Amino acid sequence: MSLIAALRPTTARAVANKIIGCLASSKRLQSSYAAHNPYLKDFVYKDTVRVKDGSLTLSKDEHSMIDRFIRVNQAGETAAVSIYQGQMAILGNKGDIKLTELLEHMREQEVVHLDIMDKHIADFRVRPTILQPVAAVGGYILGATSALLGVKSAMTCTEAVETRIGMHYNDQLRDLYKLKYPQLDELKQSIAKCRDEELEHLDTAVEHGSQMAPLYKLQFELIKGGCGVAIWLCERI
Amino acid sequence: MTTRLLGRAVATRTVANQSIRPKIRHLQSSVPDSSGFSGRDNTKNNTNLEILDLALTKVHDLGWSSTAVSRAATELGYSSMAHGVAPDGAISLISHFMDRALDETCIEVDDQLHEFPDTSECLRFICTTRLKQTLPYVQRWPEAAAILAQPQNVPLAMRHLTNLSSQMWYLAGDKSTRIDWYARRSALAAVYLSTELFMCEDRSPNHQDTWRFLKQRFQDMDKAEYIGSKTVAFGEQFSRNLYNILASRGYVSH
Repeated sequence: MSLIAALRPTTARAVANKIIGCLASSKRLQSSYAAHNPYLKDFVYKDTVRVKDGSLTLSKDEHSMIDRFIRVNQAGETAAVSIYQGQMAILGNKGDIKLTELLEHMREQEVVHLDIMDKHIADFRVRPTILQPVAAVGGYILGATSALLGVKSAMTCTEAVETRIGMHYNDQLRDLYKLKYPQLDELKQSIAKCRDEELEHLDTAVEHGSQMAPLYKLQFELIKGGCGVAIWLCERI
Repeated sequence: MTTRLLGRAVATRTVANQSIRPKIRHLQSSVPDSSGFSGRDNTKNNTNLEILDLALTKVHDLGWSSTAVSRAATELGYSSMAHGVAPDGAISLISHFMDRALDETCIEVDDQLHEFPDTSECLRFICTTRLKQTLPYVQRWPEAAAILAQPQNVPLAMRHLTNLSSQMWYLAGDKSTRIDWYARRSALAAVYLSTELFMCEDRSPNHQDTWRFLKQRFQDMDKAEYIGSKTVAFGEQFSRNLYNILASRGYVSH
């Protein structure tokens, strides 16, 4: 079967060119470069990035993709922690113990996510975003404002944010699975774990009546759009 | 046996192709890397590096210029018009030098870093190694600095500088994940840049003054970090005390 495939004109030409090319380039290398030239030396570190304490070597393109992903994830988790803090600040002393416990539980999960992303930042030599303080303060303001509009609006905020983040994590995973390095498994798994827990929060928010909030559609789309803009910015700056 | 058969089949088919569709073949061969000759691109790159590396040895006489590049090309047996490997003339050569110097530094320090337990010492060692790469060109380095400071070259210079300080901090084992990432890198870039400029004017034997200058700058950096952390701790304590006082008077809730 493969013999027949090799006989097809295009394949045959490619194979022939490859053979000729190998012979020619190796001959040229032997005659003029390596033997006579003391200056010929390729760069060792310039076009690659060594990450995870040198156990994995990525090309510049691959690294810049992972760099973007982890940067925006860290900013997102920073914002998420402060969103729940902002909601806690308003709703925490209303006396509803169940709600307080729920918010506290979600905040703790986000803190774990943030720790994971911090670890990846150090491992993969990622530049953290310079908008991090903005993300933290913005998240706090968003959380507090939505909580001021009532419990249901707070839940709408959670639902919108987690929808956007869940989509975003899925996009990242789709791109990451194109890279086959076994050293990236941990990163993929941790992003998948984060995504699952964010979607859990989404379900919790819907259960607590997020869709019964006043002007639900408007709030939802506004917050979701704002999240998209924030993601776009944090990937780049 | 199979390979021989395959080889013959390939050869006959190729000849047939050549006779039938010469024009198409010609067109295809002008497209690089689409079929075969995977070695070509690589070889071209090596030639570029070869010319630029040799050009660096001419810098002492001819300066950072395309003259140095074309002299190197002639010496290697290429046309003197091959200075096109450095399309922007001097700045390409300087950029190549900075890449090369950083690469050499990384290779050189790689197996010695474990000897330095202290981050500051470690950084100082890396800085020294990098500065020693510039040392052979120190007579001509002010020219390069002047070219790098031209407005159109500033982005490139900044890119090289950030890359340099980032690489140095990575080698020194930095794990910062917050906004201090930027603080560390800009501080180190400032230290490195000032020392490099100092080195250009340094006439002391063995460049002792440069190394002393570098050491003092690192001491300054440590001091700045110490003062910064003290200030933050003081601010935290002060605000906590203020809050407690206000709470005890009943102005704010506990």
